Amino acid sequence: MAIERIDFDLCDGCWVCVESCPADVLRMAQVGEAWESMGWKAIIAYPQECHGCKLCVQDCHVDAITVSQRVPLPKPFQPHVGLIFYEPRTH
Amino acid sequence: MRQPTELCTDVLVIGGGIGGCRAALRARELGCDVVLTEKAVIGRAGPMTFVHSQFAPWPLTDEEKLVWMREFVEASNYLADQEWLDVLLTEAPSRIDELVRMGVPYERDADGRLKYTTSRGHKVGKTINVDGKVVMDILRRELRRHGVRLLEKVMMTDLLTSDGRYPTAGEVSGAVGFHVRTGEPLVIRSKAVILNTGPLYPKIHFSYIDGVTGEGHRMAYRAGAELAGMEFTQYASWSYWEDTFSSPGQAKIQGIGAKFINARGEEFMWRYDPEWGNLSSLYRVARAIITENMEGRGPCYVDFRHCREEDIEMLLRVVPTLDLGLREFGIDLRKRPLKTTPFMAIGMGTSGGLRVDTWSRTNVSGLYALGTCTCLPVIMSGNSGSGHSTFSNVGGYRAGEDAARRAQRMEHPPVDGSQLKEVLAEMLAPLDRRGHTRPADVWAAIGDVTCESTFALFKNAERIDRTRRLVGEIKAFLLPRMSAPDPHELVKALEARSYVEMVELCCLAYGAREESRGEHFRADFPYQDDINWLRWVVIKQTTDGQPHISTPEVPLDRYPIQPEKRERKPSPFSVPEPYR
Repeated sequence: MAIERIDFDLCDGCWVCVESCPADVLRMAQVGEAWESMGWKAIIAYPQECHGCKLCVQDCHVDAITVSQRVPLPKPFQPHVGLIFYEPRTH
Repeated sequence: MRQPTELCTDVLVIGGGIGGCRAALRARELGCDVVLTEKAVIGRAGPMTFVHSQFAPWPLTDEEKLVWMREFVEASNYLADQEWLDVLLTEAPSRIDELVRMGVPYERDADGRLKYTTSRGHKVGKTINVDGKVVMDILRRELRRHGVRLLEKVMMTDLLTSDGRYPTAGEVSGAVGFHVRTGEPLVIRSKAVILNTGPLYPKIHFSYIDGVTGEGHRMAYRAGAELAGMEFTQYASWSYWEDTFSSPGQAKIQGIGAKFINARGEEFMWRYDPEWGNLSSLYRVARAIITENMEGRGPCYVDFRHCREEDIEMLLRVVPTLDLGLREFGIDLRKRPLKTTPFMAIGMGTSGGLRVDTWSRTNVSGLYALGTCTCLPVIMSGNSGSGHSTFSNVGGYRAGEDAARRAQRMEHPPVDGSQLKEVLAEMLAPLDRRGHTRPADVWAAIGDVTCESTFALFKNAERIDRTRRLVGEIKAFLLPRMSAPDPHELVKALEARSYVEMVELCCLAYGAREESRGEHFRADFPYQDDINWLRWVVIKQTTDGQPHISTPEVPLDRYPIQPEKRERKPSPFSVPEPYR
């Protein structure tokens, strides 16, 4: 359904995923404790807008990103029809 | 409000798809200064990112051209623009060859020759295969190499017209937009504008492509451009697997010979489409699956088990998102059929966009449109799974050429100061509102109204009218209340605005076409009417701001391929009693 996690131990702050996300879900930010900065890492700024296209996963050169393509079947308006009616992606 | 940054160029291309990039490169080659704007980043935006199959004719004789053309014409139920088809088949070989020479790594056979394969909608025509984002990475490199001024992360929202009016009696003189991260407003003056803004799709989990919500449609319609095929906007898809994940790749999945089977193991598509069977169109397959489900023979599956191993490997190579999804959920499509559940929404199916001539010109002077923001004149209610990118490729090159010729013979048209001020204020207005209506609320409202099953599946005059009124209410009450706390949200707000305004026009088109053709299915007219409806439905804004509909006849007398007889043909789909 969405991007789940960016592993800060692997992320080297290269910006590629932030630039390549078509839905503009990611940003760069300073992460870490007050006295132990880990530096700039990619963070998930708009998780609810991710539609699981996995372009960031394909572009990340250190495999730091976990995305699930799972899209749970929404409650259809008429179950016997067996047709999905969408729920909007942004919440 | 911040002072906008002003730029001046010969040719402005809005949207970095295959057509936009080809247009920019061609205009640049002919000596123009070119600016290309893209809301995201080229190669990570729009349908091309996920396109895996490109229709690729080789140089054809006149007789062969007619055979290849017939496939498109018959599939489009005779609505296709045959002049455009002739151009497509004549020029595509060179356009594809140029991509090959740029280094696009199309799939090749063991001898190193281009591997030609089938895709949905083509028994005669052939396609070549490659992961679309690789094509776009190469085109992006070419843009930079040739000095096209590339402005990524920039969303353009309105055209400027030489007389300051909407619709214009003059010509386009540029466009306005903003940077999606910084919010910096931009005014770009140009002598020509080429739109490559993509199809009209809602924002849903089941679609891979984001950010294609009809900005080009909206800004061009406002400026006075004609839209056609807005009734062919039953966006249908079946690649939602095992109630778990969705993927792109439908055309290639069909192309490698996958079969649709129901719970009894029957290949049901032959009942709904005796001519194309498993290569049938998206909308026919979706509706067939729904009908099988409704009549108790579901659920339905896609069976790959008999497909050749080399074809499956190629499929997974050119559709990496499918491969990643199958790996995530531990599914091997060689071992068992995959359950498929279709979805339908209002969005570009086989048409629904700007009318263009064979030079990609709209009826507004200086305004061009390419690819999936056009009415797809070569497909329109048809079936091609690979023609879109090639149409954009050919159309883009021609647009670049015509725009360059235009730019060379004129000065910059004027920009009207009060029009500019007004559109900039409108564009930025959500940033100043402190309310609680978010773009997501608009998407939820639109979903409730347009995905309601009796409307989505079984349109009739009364349901169409009700939906049109409800969409009109969303437009009148929700759109003006949307607020956006930052430029990211501003993008989403303006996308919602474009989509809602265009969906209202789709509803007018559904009501206008009183027959069933392609994905447009009317429960009250459940037949194709070739006596009265070999016509296009054209929508244009009048000077008092109202949509005006006309239904010009398809000029079949001028075309080489004509229907043998004109009669009514019943639709292959039935309307169950409760939905009549």
